[in-house]
Amino acid sequence: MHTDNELIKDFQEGNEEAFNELVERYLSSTYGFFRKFTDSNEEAEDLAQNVFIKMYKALKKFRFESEFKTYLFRANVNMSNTYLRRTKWRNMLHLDQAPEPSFVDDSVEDAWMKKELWDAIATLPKRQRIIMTMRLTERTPYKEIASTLNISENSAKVSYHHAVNTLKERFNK
Amino acid sequence: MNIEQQIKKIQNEDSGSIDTQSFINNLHMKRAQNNAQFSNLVNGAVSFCVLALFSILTVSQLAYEPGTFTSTDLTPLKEMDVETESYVVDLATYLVDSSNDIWGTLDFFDEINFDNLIASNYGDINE
Repeated sequence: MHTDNELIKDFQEGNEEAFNELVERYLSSTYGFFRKFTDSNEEAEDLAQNVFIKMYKALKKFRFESEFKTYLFRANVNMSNTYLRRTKWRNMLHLDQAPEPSFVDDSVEDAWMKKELWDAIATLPKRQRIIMTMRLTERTPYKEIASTLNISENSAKVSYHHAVNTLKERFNK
Repeated sequence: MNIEQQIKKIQNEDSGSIDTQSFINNLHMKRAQNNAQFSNLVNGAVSFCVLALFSILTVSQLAYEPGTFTSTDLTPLKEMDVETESYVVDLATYLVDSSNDIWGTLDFFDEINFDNLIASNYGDINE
């Protein structure tokens, strides 16, 4: 089985199949990542496609300074932030579509709470936002978060707890 | 909102699955569409630039006043009175009849400097 870097090298030499293999390898985690905060299969698929299209261009110039997995994850986080910013505006422009508190059932209320939470996460400082996203979407262990972000494990834990406290303060106001 | 509870809920959610092969096919199709859109955009921008350049050149040419131009000043003719006009017409008819050459007559008028002729004729009349 080829490593990620071998596949990228093959792709850089013109082997399109190598790129497809990379997509196959990471599609499930990437799609799962977007599915967590979009509540829509179509939107999650769309976002995953946009990320892989960006990867297609970026991998031609990939310099192997970081692991592909980390690189892809950062691209996912950036895409999710763009999406959250965009939907925040969309929500603001469609306020009339927000459910009336007295008529909502649990699933609708859950969906709105989830949306509110993701909107709040989008406003966190960069490191906290990335760590929160990693914990929420893939339950990434602190050790892996630390190596991905090049920080200590303790620092990752502290950032996560800061993020949770900031969110608590925001919603308890 | 209970944040911890909400976080756990999101973590425990099932992300679902996706058909890999159809995803890859759609991905390459979308990539090709994006490329086509991009090249259309570039073509559009280039066409716009060419049109803009052409328009600017045209407008600047219309506004351009050349150093030499054909005079539309018909003052000498306007000032010609009936007597002078009949004198010139007679002279021209005589020259055309005698030489049978219209172009030669016109050249002759050019040579004798027609404007001056009128002026001198005026002088004659006025005297």
